[in-house]
Amino acid sequence: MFTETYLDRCVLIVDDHADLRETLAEILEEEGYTTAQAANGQEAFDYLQANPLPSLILLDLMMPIMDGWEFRKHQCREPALAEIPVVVVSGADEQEQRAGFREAVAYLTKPVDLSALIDTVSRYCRQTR
Amino acid sequence: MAERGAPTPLNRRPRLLAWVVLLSALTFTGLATWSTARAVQARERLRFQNSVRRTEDILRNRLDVYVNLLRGGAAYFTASDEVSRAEFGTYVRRLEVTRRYPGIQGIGFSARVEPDAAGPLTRRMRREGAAGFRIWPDVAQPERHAILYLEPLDRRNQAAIGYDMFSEPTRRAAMERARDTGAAAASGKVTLVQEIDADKQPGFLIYVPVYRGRGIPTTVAGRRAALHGFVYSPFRAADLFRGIFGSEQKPRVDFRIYDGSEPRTENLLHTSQPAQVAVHNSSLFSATERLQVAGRPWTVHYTSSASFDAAAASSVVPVTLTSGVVISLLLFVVTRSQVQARERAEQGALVLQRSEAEAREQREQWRITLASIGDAVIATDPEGKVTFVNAVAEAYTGWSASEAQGKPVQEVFFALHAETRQRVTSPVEEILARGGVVGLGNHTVLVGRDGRERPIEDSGAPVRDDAGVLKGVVLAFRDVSERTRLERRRTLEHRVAQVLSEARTWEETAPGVLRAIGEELGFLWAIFWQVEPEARVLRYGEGWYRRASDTEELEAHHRHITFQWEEGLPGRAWAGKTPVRVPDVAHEPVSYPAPDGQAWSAGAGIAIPLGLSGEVIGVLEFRGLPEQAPDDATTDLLVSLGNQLGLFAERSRAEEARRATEALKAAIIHTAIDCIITIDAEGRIIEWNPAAERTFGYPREEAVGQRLSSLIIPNRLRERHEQGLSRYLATGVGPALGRLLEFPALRADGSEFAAEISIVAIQGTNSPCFTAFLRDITARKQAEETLQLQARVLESMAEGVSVADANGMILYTNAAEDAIFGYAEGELIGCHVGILNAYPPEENQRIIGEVLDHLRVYGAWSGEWRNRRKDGGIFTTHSRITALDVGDQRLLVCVQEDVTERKRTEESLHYLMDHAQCLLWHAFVEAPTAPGEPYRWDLQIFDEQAAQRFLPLDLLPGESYAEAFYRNKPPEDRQLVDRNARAAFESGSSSYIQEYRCLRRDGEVCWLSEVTHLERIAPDRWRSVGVCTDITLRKRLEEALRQRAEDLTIADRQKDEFLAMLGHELRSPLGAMVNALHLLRRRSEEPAVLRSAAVLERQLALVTRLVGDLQVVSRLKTGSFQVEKRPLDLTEVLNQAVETSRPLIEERRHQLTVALPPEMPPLCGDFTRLVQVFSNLLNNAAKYTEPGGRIQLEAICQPTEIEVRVRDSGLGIPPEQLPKVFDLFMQSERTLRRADTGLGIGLALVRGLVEMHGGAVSAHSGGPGQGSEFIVRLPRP
Repeated sequence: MFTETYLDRCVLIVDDHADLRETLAEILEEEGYTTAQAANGQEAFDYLQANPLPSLILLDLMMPIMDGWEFRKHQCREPALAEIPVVVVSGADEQEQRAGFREAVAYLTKPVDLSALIDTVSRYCRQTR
Repeated sequence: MAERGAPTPLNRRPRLLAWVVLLSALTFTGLATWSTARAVQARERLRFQNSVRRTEDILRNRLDVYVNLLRGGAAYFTASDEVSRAEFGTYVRRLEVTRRYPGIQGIGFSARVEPDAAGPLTRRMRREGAAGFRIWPDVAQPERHAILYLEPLDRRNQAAIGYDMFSEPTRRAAMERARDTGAAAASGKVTLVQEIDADKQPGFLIYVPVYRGRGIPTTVAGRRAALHGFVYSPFRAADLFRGIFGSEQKPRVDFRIYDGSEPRTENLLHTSQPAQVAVHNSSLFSATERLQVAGRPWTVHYTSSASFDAAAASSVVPVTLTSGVVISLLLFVVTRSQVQARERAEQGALVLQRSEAEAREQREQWRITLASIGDAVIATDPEGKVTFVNAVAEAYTGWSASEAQGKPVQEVFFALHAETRQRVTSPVEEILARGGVVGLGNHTVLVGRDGRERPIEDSGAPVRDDAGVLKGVVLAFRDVSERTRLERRRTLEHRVAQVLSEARTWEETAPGVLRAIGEELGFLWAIFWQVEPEARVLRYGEGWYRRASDTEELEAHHRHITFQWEEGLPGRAWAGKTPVRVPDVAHEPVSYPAPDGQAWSAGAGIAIPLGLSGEVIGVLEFRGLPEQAPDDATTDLLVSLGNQLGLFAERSRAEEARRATEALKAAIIHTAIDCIITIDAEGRIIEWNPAAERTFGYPREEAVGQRLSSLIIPNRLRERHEQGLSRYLATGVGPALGRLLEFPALRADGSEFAAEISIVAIQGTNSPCFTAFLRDITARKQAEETLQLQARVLESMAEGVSVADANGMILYTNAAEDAIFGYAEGELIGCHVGILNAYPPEENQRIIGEVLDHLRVYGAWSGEWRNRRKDGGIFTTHSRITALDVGDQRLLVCVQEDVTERKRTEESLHYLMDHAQCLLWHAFVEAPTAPGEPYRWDLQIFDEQAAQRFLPLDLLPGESYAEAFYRNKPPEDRQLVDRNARAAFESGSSSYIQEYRCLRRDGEVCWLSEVTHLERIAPDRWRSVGVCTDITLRKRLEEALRQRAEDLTIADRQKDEFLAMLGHELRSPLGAMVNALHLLRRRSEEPAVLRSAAVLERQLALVTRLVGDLQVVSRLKTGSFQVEKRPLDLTEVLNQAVETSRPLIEERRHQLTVALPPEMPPLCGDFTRLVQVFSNLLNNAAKYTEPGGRIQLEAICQPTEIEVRVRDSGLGIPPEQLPKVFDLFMQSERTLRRADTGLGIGLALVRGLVEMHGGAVSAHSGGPGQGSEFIVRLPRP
């Protein structure tokens, strides 16, 4: 199971909104998770090429350079990356998010209900501290 | 003791005495009985004979009355040549046959039918209303008759109509006898054809002949030739005699009436004995009498009736006989048994005395019997002294029996001769003188003690004893007033009928009638007062005076008298149409004029009006002695005669008028310019006047007798003529009759000419004939045709044409003239032309004068003329007047054209062009001769100058405006215009609209809209009109509007995009803030920080919700929003919604009440969205309610839906805003003023979401301050 494989790895937060991205990272780290950040799909893809694979990707959809949907397409094309679970975190509601996005493990709308987020993350990621 | 002294001789005598006593008693009884029986039988026989006599009188009188009635009817026919069915009906009805003449079946007329007249007669009768008339039985015999009329026309009589009585021998014999003798003739016994029921009676008929012409021809041959028919009456014998004797309850005699001179059973006409009474065979008396009824012998067998015999049987004879015998025997026995002869003798004498007393008693009884019989009886002794007077005689003479007793009979029985008024010797004196029976006297009038007179019949017989010694006289007499009256009436009616049958006019009749009535009824004078209708008075017409010596003086006197309406006796009879009688005119309020010294001013008077059909033509007045005042019966008789005379007078007057008309007709026929041709029903000419001779070229003698159709009607029309004639004869319908027809007629030389004909049907005696009035109209036809052509030309002219004479009197106007001036056709004829002018009167005179002067010199005038219509409207014509001399008359012919309209139209068009800002053109268009070639237009611009002002174009040298108008269009617009026109021509449409551009001279491009009308005037030719208006401004506005709309659409789209983006763009910062706040709260324990963090948290939640709403709304708008329905529990939804809204509700301190049903039915829906719906409604309620208000949330389960109500006690919604509360960005104005929060999307969202769930939401409010209620209805699955 990929869960077992990636459990103790980090959470990759992909969002173009820096404040959001950083406060989210700070909250997760306070919860004991290791995080990594990317400002858009391209950065995230680049990160995945150069770093150990994360256990979970929190993905915004509307982003410059490469949006969430584009990123997902690229991710799915590479078998090594395709197995990393993705949680969509965007301004659209779940209905919108589902449209045109394949197989996210969860869809969360900003501003995210933090307890729900931590609950979701805890299912795919092991606290490192 | 003397008797005792001689006993011995008496001892032997008793036996003898007894026998003597018996013998003498029996003898006496026999004598008494014989005498009584003889007297009684004589009396009864007398009674019987009297009854027979009376019955016979009644019969004879009555039948005579009927014969006279028929003679009157015959006279009615003689007075007039033709009597129609209706007239005859009226005549008979006025006679009141049923009432006045009981027993008569009716009065009829049977006409002799000439061999060839049967058909026309049948048709005539049917025309007169006798549908189904036919002559029957249909037998071939040389002479035929037919019953034409029979009144009253009841069911029985209906059955007789058309019957040929001549075909039956019994009737025929009577008819022939009547015909040959000229007198009334009764038939033998027959069964009437009226006997249509089972109850058949024997009958007979009486005929009175009617001859053509005047009076009765003198020879038999003449009578046979002139016979016209018979007035007749059928009699049903039983009905007749019942009618005559019907009133008699207990007849004294029965009678059987036999036709013929022998009483044969087969000829029995009538028996008076009712069938149910057993035949009374052994009558005491019988008698057989012969009677002549209208020349026919009848035998009447009389027998005493059962009741009569019963009365006779109870007479004293048997009593006398029986009691006499019994007494005699008793006497004998008694006498024999008496020893004492003397006693016996004495007793015998006593018995004898008794017997005598009884005989006296019997005589007394006889007196009583005499006293009770119907006739008057007076008995005298041999000296002529009255010994007995019965009750009837008492009444007649005025003497009571006791007073009369012992008086000389001539004192009690005072009789005068009716005519001479001389005292007549009483029968008593004659009998006493001569000793024989004296027969019945005639014309005797008994004068009573009171002076009253009554006509009587008397007879007397001597009374003798056994020895033949004259003991006295019995005088019997009776009142014959009734019989005399009947006789008088019969004679009178006979005389009047005689007079009527011999005269033809009332003037001829009057003297005879007056004389007959005057003489028969014993009047002093009789006058016919004639009504003068113009003067409204009665004037002397004719008079009769009893005393010839008075005539001259009285007539001269009466001639000067007139009576006004209602004046005097005649005036009252005239006015009241009823008879007027007075016992003595001396008592009349109006003084009765009389010459001096005459006693005529007094006396009984009666006046009878004459004439019946609503109009009185005169009055008959009779004057008699005061004691002769007419009684009811006489009045009745006079009225009856008056009716007959009135009818006669009416008829004869009509006849006179007809004869005068005929004379006039003959004159007209002879001198007429028109051909007058009369044909009979067969179409043969019977009249051909000189004009016909001239016109057709046939002399009269040649034409008469020919068939009209073969003589003057061209071959091709003959058949139609014949058909028309026969159709008229068959049906009585003749469309050609009474109309003016034109047809081509044929002359003797074979040439044809146009003839005008009118035909009149004349109802003749037997069959109709037709008179045609015919005129050669060839010349007139030609003239008419020419005139018609001219008239048609004139009438079809659009210009008004009038013709006036030199004085200006209008003689002719055509239709256009009438229409122009607003008059009805022909209304102007005879008017002066002046009424058509609109100039003031003084000017009018002058102008007409000038025009007339001009006409006199130049013969023609033309110019504009101001006219006045009938309705007062003023208008202008262009008039041309020409003077025309026709014969010696100068006529003015005026042709005028109403130019008002034209002028007005022209002016209007110019005005239109100047001011209406349009361009008008007119064109003729021709189709291309080869395919592909263009249509050829010949286009004319109306008023080019105005067009140039409207649309200034740059014209090339020599170019017309129309050409420039086409050239200055952009090429693509020229193509468009050509294309549109071609499409319209080819599709056949009549109008189309197009818009195109045109280059103005100043370089501006202007837009034009053109409405084009097309009218195809030939297969390849059109006429077209176009109206162009400048729409440049409109086009610019349109362009601006279009741009604006486009901008708005873009702006709207941008707004939607913006809204969609807004969600995304705001959500990330919101997320960041939420995260940061989370971190802040975790890292600080500072209470102030935590309070602020709480505020931030609440506000962030609010903003997040608003952003969410916005996103949903924008997606709802774009249609990209969907709800995800899953089974859910509404209670949970509502609890969640309450939780969501709780912060706001609590903040505003509202009191929230929630009422939910214990069992909430399952529902399908989107949990999140439904929470959103109800929390929005709750927030709304909280927001628009002043703090501390009440909010109620209630859910109600309905059968098909769940209803959720959110009610508040807040601001409410004004009624005008209720329909708009669910619109996007809609907010109550009040809340805006209060600068409250909210985007106005909450309710729009609610509605969108509820509708996505298939439900509905509605808002309710009583108005501002009344709170609001929102109701959401969600369908149950």
